[in-house]
Amino acid sequence: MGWELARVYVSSTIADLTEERRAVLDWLRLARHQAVDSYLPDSDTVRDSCLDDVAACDLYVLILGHRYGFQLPQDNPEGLSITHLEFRRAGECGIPRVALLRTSIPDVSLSDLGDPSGWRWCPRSAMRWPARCVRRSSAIRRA
Amino acid sequence: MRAAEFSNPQSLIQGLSTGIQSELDKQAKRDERRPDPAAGRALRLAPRPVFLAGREELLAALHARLTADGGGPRMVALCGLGGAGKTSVAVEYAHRNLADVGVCWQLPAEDRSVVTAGFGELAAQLGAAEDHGDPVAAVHGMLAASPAPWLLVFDNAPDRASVARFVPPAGPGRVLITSRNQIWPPGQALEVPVLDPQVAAEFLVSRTGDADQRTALEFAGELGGLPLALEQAAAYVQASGESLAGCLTLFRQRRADMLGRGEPIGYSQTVATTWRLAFEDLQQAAPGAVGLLRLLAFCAPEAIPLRLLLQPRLGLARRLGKEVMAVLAPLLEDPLLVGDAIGALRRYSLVTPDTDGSVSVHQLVQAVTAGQMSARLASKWQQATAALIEDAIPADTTPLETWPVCAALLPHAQVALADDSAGMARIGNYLGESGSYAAARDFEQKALDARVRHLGPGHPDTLTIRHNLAYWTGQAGDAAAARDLFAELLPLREQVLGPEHPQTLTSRGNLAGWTRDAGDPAAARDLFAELLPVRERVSGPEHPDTLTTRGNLARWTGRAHGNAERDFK
Repeated sequence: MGWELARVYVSSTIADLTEERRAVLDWLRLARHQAVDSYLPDSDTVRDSCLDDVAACDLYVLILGHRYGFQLPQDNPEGLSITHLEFRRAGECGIPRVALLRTSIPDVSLSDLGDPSGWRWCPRSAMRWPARCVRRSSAIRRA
Repeated sequence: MRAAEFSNPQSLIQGLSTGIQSELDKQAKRDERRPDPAAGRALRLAPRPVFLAGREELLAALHARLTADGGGPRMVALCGLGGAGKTSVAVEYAHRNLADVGVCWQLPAEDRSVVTAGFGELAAQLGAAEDHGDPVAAVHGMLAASPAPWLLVFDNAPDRASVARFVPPAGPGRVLITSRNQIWPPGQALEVPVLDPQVAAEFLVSRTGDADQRTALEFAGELGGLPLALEQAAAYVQASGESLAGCLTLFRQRRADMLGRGEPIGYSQTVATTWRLAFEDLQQAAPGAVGLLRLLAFCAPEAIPLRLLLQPRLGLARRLGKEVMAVLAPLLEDPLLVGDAIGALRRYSLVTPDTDGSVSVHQLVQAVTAGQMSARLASKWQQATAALIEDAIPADTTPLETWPVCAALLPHAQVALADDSAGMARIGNYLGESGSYAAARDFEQKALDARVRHLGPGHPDTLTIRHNLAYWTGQAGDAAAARDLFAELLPLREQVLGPEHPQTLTSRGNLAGWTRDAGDPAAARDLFAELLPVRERVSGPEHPDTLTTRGNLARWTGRAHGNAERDFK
């Protein structure tokens, strides 16, 4: 038996959820689960490694803020973000998923809209999350 | 999929912990329906503790002891207060070492018949014949002959004797015992201490998602680093949606009630329940121990000097009444009974012996002990504690040889005695006489505030404390403040006691002295000159106080004029 109770993949956008990710990772470590962190999405190879990591976990945790996340321009006919692809992969692999949905008003300055890093705001994409994930989408609309 | 909303770090962590636990529970139920891959292996062990903070050093020490070279099984008794996390450490150790052992069996050890039944199950698991007779002997035989290492955990053993016949005498094994009892043969006990405040605070922050580090540190201190209490508080914060700061405020207001609330993960009971069961056992078996614990509940938690407190005291029965004295009197009269009571409390780690016959009690044990008495009974024990402490303080704390006694009693006097009590006045005097002027001044200030509340500003006793406050203020380095305080006091003493009362004259002498120290020798000279004839008339021309005043007059006359001192003979 390993030292951790479960291998838990933590999936989220980065820029708008830094504190939340830290809190979740801290808690998981305290509870002695093995927290698997997602990477900054900067290449196609990272997407594949993220999705492989998801498949190797016992649990998947999604933290959903007001950003949809980076959408790879290639090999992505549906235009899904990496976070969304991770979420989907966990479902395909039958990995239990826990989704944590932020309801507070987001910091507009951090929204995908007008982000110079090249991230693209895609308000309709938010509706692609399963209904249970977006039943409080007011935060996204405000952005 | 499980979804939860959050709007702040706390609700985020609440959603996370609930979601993870729920999904893991579902997984565990699915696993139960599958064939057990470990079938055939002798394994009985509680799930790994979900939260375990600050125990790496202890686990390393435990591993070193259990794997030390030597013939026969290695044995360690993890001992400590209920709620210190002994079982969590033992179970964690077992899980970490599962790969190294062929047999790992955890036995509830509170009751011998339950242990025997556990051995019966283990014997069957190991493949012993059904008619093997004594299951304990059968298991011992099989473990002695085992080529693979094994690990037995005896959980919550009352004492050494209760598990002695169950401990395998031979074989390549490790025996881990958890017990509240501190009394084990040398080298066998390993104490499970409370957590370091910083570790405890980090636990609270991470476990609750409330990033208020300062409050977490304060709260950890209030909980004395006790893992069960920390987990209970965190569980309460999560369940109630309260902040750490809000929970701490509630805890300070309703300590005993709060210790009975919350559903700690990894523990079967709250702090209050855990210790109440120990108190109930003690009430039956050792009522003297319960009495001693009640007495200790109203002292400071650290280094309680029992030898100083538990002495025969004249007139105590009259002051304390029959109910308390029936339990207390034997402890005051017979040191052997005190030893028995301490021994009984140590069986539950409710006290920890220090050096020189003193003991320490965890502050939450004190809180629960006090909280489990009726208000009337608690008040009586509080009075008893105060009376014993006050009686133990030497009548005159000026001599140097009384200072160690005063130092030992000081923290307990501060907790148990009223600020304006006679005992505290003697402690204040000790502080000043032994050189802690600022502390003596602060003591007197508190005493004055209390005395004014109780007796009013003009009572002679209030004026005595004002005199002392002024004096230690000067000694602490503020001569001008001392002068001003004596200047304010003098007319009050003249009015209340009379202008020629000895205490009034003492204040006059001090006013003159501190006037000089504040930098005005001429004014000091004049004040001494006015005082001298009064002293001569009241006390006599050769009284020591008169001679002191004469000496001061001569001295400050000389300084005021920059000349040789005048002869006042």
